[in-house]
Amino acid sequence: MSRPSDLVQGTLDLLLLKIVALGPLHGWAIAQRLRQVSGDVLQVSEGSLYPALHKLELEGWLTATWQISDTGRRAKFYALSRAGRRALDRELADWARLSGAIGRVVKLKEL
Amino acid sequence: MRLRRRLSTWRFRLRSVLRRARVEQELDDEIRDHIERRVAADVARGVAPDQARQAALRAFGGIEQAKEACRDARRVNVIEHTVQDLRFASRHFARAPVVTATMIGIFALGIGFSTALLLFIQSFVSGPVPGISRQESLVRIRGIDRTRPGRALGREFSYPEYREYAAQRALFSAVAAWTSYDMVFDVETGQANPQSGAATYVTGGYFQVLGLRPVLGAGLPIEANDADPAPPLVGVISHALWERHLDRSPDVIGRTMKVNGVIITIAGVAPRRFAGARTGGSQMRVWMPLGTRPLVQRTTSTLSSYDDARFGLAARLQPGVRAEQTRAIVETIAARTAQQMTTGSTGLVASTDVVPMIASNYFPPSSDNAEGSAGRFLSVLFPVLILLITCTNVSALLAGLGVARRREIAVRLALGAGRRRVVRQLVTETVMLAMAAGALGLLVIWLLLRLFEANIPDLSIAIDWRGLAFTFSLALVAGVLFGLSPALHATRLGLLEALKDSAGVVVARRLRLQSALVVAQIAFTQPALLGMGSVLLEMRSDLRELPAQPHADRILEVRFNVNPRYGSLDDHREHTLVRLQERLAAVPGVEGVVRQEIVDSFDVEVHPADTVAGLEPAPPQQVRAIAAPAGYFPLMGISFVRGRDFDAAERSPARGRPAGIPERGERSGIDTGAIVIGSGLARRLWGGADAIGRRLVSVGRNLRGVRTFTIVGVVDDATTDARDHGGRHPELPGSRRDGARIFMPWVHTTGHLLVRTRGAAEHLLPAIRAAAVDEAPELPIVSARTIAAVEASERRSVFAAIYAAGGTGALALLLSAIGLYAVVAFAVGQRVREIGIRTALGAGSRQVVRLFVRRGLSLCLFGLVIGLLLGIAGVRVISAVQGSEPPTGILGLSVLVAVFVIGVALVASWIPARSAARIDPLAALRVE
Repeated sequence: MSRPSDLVQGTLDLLLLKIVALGPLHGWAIAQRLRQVSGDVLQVSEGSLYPALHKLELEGWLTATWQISDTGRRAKFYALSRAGRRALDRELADWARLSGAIGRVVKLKEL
Repeated sequence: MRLRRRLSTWRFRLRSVLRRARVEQELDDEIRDHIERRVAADVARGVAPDQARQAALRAFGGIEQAKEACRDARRVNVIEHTVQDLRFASRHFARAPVVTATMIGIFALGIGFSTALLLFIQSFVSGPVPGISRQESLVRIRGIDRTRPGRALGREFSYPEYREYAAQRALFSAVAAWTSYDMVFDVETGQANPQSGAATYVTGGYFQVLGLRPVLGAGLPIEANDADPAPPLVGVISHALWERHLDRSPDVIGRTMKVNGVIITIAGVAPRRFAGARTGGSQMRVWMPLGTRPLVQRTTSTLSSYDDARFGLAARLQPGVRAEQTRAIVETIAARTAQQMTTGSTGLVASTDVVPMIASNYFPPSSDNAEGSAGRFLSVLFPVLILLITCTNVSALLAGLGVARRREIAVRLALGAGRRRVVRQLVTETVMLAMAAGALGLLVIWLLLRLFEANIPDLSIAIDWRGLAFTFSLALVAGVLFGLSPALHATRLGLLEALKDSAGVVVARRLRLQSALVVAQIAFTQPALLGMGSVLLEMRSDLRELPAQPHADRILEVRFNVNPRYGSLDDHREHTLVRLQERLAAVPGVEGVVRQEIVDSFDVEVHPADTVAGLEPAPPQQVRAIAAPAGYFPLMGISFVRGRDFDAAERSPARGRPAGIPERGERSGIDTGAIVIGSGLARRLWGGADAIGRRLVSVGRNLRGVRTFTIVGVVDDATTDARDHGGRHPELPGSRRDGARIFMPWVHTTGHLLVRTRGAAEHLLPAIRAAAVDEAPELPIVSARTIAAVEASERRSVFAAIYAAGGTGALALLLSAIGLYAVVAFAVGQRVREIGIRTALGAGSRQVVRLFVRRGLSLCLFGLVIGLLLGIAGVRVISAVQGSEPPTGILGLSVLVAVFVIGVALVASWIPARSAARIDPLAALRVE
C-alpha cells in the first residue's frame, strides 16, 4: 500500500470526512471532488483512498449504503455518521491549531 | 459512547467474517465501479478505451494489493489468517507424517516426563498433608533436640508442655495435640476378624484446628476433658477404613467396633485421604478422645508428667500473627520445660519451632548444613535436563524440516507476503505441534503418576493443579520457543540463495546450528545418566547390606502392640511378654522364640591399650548395636568362630534396675560391658590377631559419656544376617544403613518376637496367632510376617526407585539418539548431490558410510567430553556439599556411560549413512 506522499500524514481522514460531510458520495466522486476543490493540488491515489475509506467505515465515522448511482449501476455511497460529525469537529480543531502554529513560525521575520 | 462505537466496530468485523463472500463481492464491485468510472472519464476526454483501461488499472496500483489493503484496514485478517495458517500447517504436517509423529511423540514424552517428575518431587517436598488443604494459619509446633551440636533431632512433647503452648492465646487461637499407637480393631461383622491399624488419641478440637469436617457424622466432641475418668467411647474412622472394611456404608454412624478389644461407637468418618497430620502411618486409623487412651491402650502413663513426651502438636495462629513472631516465646517455653524434666535429662537442650504444616516437615531437618537444599536442587535438575533435551531435540527436527521449506518461504516473501505474516505462519505451526504434544503429554503424565502411586505406597501424590498448570505451560512455552528459532532463521534467507539451493554459507550455518543442538543434547545426557547411575550405585550398596537371611521363610517376625517408641512400659507388660515367649515356644512346630530390637548406632575405636603391634590403628568405625538375648544366636543360625555367647551374668540387669526399663534420656543397654562382634569387624580392627578380651571405646557424642566394651565372642559374618528388626519403615532409597554389627546382651523391651519354625513359617501362622491371642489378649498383634516377606517389601521400594532412575536415564539417552539420527540424516539429505557425484566417480559405499559415521561420531565425542566433565564436576560438587564420599565406582560408571553413548551414536549415524550409500547416483544428480 503506497503512502499518500502528497498529503500531510493524517490529514487524509480529515479531508475525506469533510467532503462527505457535504453529502453522501461514492469513492470515485470523493476523489474527483477533492481534486476539483483543491485545484488539482490534492490528489489521492486509489490505492490509498479505498483503504482509508474502509478504515473510516470500521471506526464508525462513515456509514456505507449501496444505492443505484447515476450510471444505473449500484455503487457504495459513504455518508457521515453522528460519531463522524463529532470526529470531524475534533479533527478540524486539531488542524486549526496545527496550521496556526506552523503559520506563526513561518511568519517570523528573518534578519 | 465509546462502548457503542466498540460494539459497532465488532458488529462490522463479525459481518466481515461471517458473510465473507458477500463482503468480498462488495469490495470487488466497489473497485470495479471505480475503474469503470475512470475509464469512462478518460474515454470522454478522448483516450482510446483499452489504453484508458490499462491506465486505470495501473493507477490503481495493483488491484489485489489494494483489496488486501482494504481487508487489512478492516482488520479482519487476524481471524482469517489464523484459519489459513492452521489449514496450511495441517497440510504441511500431513505431508511428512512420520517426522511429525516422531516430533509430537518426543515432545509429549519430554513434557510429560519432566512435568510428572517435577510434580512428584514437589508433592514429596512441599506438598500439603494428604486430606488437608494448604492453609496459611495452620502450623506445626515442632520439638527440637539440640543436644548434639550441629545436629537437630526431633523431639515430641509432653502433655504439660502442650498445655503451656495452648495457654498462649495471644499467639495461637487453638492448639491440638495427638499421639498414636498401633492397635488392633475389629468391625464386628459376626465373626472375629482382627485387623491391624493405628489409633490416634487427640485433644478436643483436633479436627477443628486442622480445618477438617467429617464427611459423615458429627465427629468428636469439641470440648473434651483430656483427663476424664469416664470419657465418651467414640471414635472417628479414616476414609480408607470406611472404604475397605465397612464398604462405604452410609449408616456407620452409631455402629460399634472394637479397638484393642474395647467397644467404641463410630461418631464420624474422616475426609478422603486424611490419615493423620503426620504422614507415613497406617491408613486404617481411628481417632479417639485423649481420655480414652488409658482404657484402650492399657497404658498407665499419665498426663501430668513432663517426662512422658509422646505428643505431636498442631496449632492455628491468631489472625495477624506470623509463625516467626512466635519463635521467641515458644523457645522460652521449651527451655523452661527441659528444666522440668526430672529423670536423666541432664544435658537436654530443648527448643521449639513453628512452621507451616506440610507433609514432609513433622521432624526438623536433621542437620544444619545445606544437604537438604542440595538434594532438592538435584532432584529438580533432572527433570529440567530432560525437558532441555526434549526441546533441543524437537528444535533440531524442526530445523531439518524448516530448511527443506526455505525455498517455499523465500518465494512467499518475494511474492509480497510480509515477513510477519510468514513468521506468524511458522509460529502457528509450532504452536499446533506443541498443542498436540501437550495433549499427548497429559496422557503421559497421568500414566506416570498412576505408576508412581502404585509403586510407592507411602506417598500419596497431591496433584496441585496450579503446579501442574504452571509446569505444563512452562514446558509448552519452552517447546514453542525452541521450535521457533529454526523457523525464524529460515525467513532471513535471501531469495536467490534459497532458490539456488546450493550448499553454501546458508546451509553450513543451519547445519552448524543443528550440530550444536545435538552436541548440547549429548552433553546434557551425560549428567543425567551419571546422576541416575550414581543413585543406582548407592542403592546397590544399600541392597548389599540386606543379604538374604538364611532360612528367611522359616523365621516369623511377630510384632505386638507394646508401643516401643517412647520407652515406657510396665512390669506387667514385661512379664506378659515373657509368658508369651514361653507359650509360643510351646506351639508344635516352633523351634524357638526370641526377642530382638536394634539398640543404637554410634562410633567406636580400638582401646589404646589393645592395639596390635605392627598393625596401623584403624580409624573410628561406626557400629550398630543389636540386642542378642538368650537364644538369639542359635535361633538366627549365627555361629561363633571365637569366644562365646553372653552368659547369664552379662544378661542380667546392671545397677539394680529391672531388665527392660531404660532411664529417661539414656540410650538403652549401652552401659553393659560385654559385646560380640562379627569376624569382618575383628579383622578390620585387629587383623588376624585374637579379638577376645580386647576392648573398644566409644567416641564422639552419640552416647552420653564414654563407654568401654569388652569383646567376649566373635561370630562368623557369613551367618549373621545383619537384619535389624527394629520396626524401621522401609526408608526412601539413598538413606544409608551404616555401621558394622555388634551384639549386646541386654534387651530393651519391645514387642518384637522372632519365632523359628521347623517347616515353612507360613503354615504355623494361624496356630501362633491363636496361641498369642489366648495367652495375652491385651497385647494385640500388630503384624506377623516371615522375614522373607519383610525383606521382599523392603526390596520392592528400592527397586521402584531403581526403575524410576533407570527410566529417566534411558529416556534421556533415547532422545539424544533420535536427535543425533536426525542431524546425520539431515546432513545426508543436504549432500545428496555430492554423494551422487562421489559414487559416480567410483567411491565405494563403505567410504561414503565412513564419511558420515565419522561426522556423527565427532559430534558425539564433542558432546561426550563436555558432558562428562559437567557430570563429574557435578558429582564432586554434590559430594562436597553433602559431606559424603562419591559412591565407589563413579569413575567406572562414567566410562561405562561414555562407551554406551558412543555405541548409540554409532548406530544412529550408521543407519542414515547406510541409506546414503545406497543412493542411486543418477537419482542423486537429478536432485535440484
